Amino acid sequence: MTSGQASWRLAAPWRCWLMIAAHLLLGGLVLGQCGAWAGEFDEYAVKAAYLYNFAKFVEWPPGTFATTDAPLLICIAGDNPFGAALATLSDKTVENHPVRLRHMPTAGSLAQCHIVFISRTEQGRFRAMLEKLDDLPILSVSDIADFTRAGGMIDLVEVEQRIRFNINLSAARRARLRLSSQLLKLATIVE
Amino acid sequence: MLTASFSAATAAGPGAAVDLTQLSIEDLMQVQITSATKQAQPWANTAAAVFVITADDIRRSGVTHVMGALRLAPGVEVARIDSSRWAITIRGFNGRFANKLLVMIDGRSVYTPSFSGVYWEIQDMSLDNIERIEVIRGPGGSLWGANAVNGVINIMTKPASETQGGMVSVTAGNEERAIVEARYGGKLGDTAHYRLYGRYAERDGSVAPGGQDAGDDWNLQRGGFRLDWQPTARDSVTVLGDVYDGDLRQNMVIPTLTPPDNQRQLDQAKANGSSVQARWEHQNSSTGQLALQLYYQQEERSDLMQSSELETLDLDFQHNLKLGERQEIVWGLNYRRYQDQFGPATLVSIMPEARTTELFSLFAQDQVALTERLRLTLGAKIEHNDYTGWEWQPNLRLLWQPSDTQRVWGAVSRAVRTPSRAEEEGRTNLTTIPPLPEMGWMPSVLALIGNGTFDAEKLTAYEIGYRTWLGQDFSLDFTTFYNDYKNLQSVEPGTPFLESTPLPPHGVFPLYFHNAFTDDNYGAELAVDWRPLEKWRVQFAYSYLWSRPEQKNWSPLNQVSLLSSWEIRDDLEFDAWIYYVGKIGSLPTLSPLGTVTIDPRLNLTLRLGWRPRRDLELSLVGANLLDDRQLEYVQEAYTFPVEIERSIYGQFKWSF
Repeated sequence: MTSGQASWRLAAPWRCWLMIAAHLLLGGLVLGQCGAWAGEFDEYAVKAAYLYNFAKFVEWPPGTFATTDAPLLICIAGDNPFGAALATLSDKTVENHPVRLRHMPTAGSLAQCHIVFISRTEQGRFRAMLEKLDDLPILSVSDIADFTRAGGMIDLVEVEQRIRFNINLSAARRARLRLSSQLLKLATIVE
Repeated sequence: MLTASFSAATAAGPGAAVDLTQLSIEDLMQVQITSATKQAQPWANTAAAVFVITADDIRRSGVTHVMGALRLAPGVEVARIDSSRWAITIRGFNGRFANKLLVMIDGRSVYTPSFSGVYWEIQDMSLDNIERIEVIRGPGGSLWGANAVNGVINIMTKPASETQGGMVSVTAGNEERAIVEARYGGKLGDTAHYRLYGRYAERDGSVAPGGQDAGDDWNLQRGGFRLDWQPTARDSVTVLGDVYDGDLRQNMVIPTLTPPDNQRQLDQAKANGSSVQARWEHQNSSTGQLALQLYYQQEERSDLMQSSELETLDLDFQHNLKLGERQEIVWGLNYRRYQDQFGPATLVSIMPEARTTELFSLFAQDQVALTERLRLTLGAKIEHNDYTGWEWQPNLRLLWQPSDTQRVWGAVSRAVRTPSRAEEEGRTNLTTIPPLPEMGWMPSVLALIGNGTFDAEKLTAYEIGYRTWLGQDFSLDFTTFYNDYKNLQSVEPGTPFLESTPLPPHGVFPLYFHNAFTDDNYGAELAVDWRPLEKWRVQFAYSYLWSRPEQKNWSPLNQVSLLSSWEIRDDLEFDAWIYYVGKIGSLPTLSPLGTVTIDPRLNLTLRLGWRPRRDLELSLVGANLLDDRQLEYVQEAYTFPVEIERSIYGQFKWSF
């Protein structure tokens, strides 16, 4: 599940040949898929990139950062599904704030985080977690099903093999977070 | 813009590290991720041999009953005795009354305490309502309780929110004569979803050794509901109800006291029952979760072996708690009450005819992260049952994470199988022995007799497993185990005696139930899931089981299952499923047939599925294609071998 590891899928030219052979064996059906395999990526590499983008397009209330170059904390609550995919974020900066990653298996001290990603292993506990984060200027993101309907701020869903996101605007407003219009126009607003 | 960013990716070749953070959000929304249906597996971190059969796997395998779907899992022996009887077990000791496997549907046990086993024919349920089947090989005693000796099968149905709207499905074929299902799901207000369903299944009989119809066609009707309600943000309530009624015909060779001494009879059996179940889950804090479940089950069955009624009441409480950064504790209490009533039956009599037995248990499990990569689990269940008193089932598990994509685990566990009514207080007449001089030229009956001394069977199991995955397209799960059994069921011949009822007067050769057998076995299981092409997926399962040759040898040495699923087009799919079951050298039966040998078999199922419209699904399936009829298994008593026929059927499913 980590990006950057050799995939066990066959390389592009071989895939085409194998598909052609398979189709010929069954009387020649329309192909049409060979060219489209330009690139497919690991689900969590894409979600990690989304986290970085959310950091870029969200404005925290004044006073959230102690100094102009205080670190921006992205925390993972529960088991960490990203693996090495998070490594791409560790040397990034958002508006002078260096990005720092924290893994909090028990969601103990989430109050110091700026973005919290709640992993699927917390499916049974996340609602209580959201209640604790309520009113705090923390962006909550997750890929748990119906996360935004349960009060989470951003929901990452898979739609036709692509990752899309839903935004619960009222939850974000209660936390005094301002989401850039660029983000809002691309998302599905849940409420 | 999109192609420009990607040309760098493809030039570098697939799988090369690409920094997706360079992409804008618009581009990120267009990025395709690999492998549509693989969810992050929570069971990757389980220190146990778990295999999950998903709803999609069930659909692709072309089976029409949940028993067939179990063949996809390694370590599970699934053998069809006749049209309505199955012998299913994990890691050995198979039989119609295989007693080392615990089977649950949505947390409700369907294991019958009268004969310690599962009547699979009445578990024939709507496959479309199943979300997944978890197959856990190895002792599950610490979490699931007694009788989860060799494994647990957990069938979980879909939440009502996933079965909204209507669905009608009709299946028809030569063996699957007619299966009609209807389902409707809706919402109640904002916070509740429900579904109602009904199903009628009628199946053709199998074939007797001479080639004639064995006459064992049968039908089963079933209906029920599920309600999922979310009263507050932290609470969820699920209520399930189910009713079934079945008319079965099952061939048995039963003892008669007049010539011919053992005669084939087509048992016209009836089975019906109902169950209702409620479960409440509550998140009391960000670290804790409580669950409370209550179910009531009522079953009636009348066949040559019994005329019985059984009521079960079960109350279960469980608490999950995360303690600090490194520990997670689960503990729970359970109370179960069985109330049974046995009327007179031809083959089996149970004294006392009515009994109420109670079961109390307490379990606790602590999972500790010793280091970031090493996790230890310690658990135990303590149970009190009315036959053998206190039993305890501890286990110790260790999970090691050598790398992000590999897991190694080991476990030592103890499990217990508690006695059934038949083993403690029953008398089962097996076969008639023709008149003998020592019996005054009277016929005699060979009978299994329980005299209240049967003890619990015990198992100590040692398991090691390894799991790895590469990208999203390949995963491998390997387990090896050694099982050490003690106190296994044995029979000791007793002093023959005479009795005069029922007439004619006859002798009895008693076989008393004892626990004198010890046995051990070892084996390995391998499951590989590979997607060599985006549209082609291959699932491979292999099981190896070695049992002592001098003990009963009733399991095949090897089993292989290979399911190939190909998406020809967006609306057309083709599946091919081959499975091989090795020879069963000497299956012991308590019948005039003695020991039976079953040849190795190779089965092929092909399925073509077409979705002409989003709401319509058509499929054509051929199962057991390689042989027009084949012997799969025989019942361990009253044995009448029949063969299972080739089956071809079509299915039409409409959702609205």
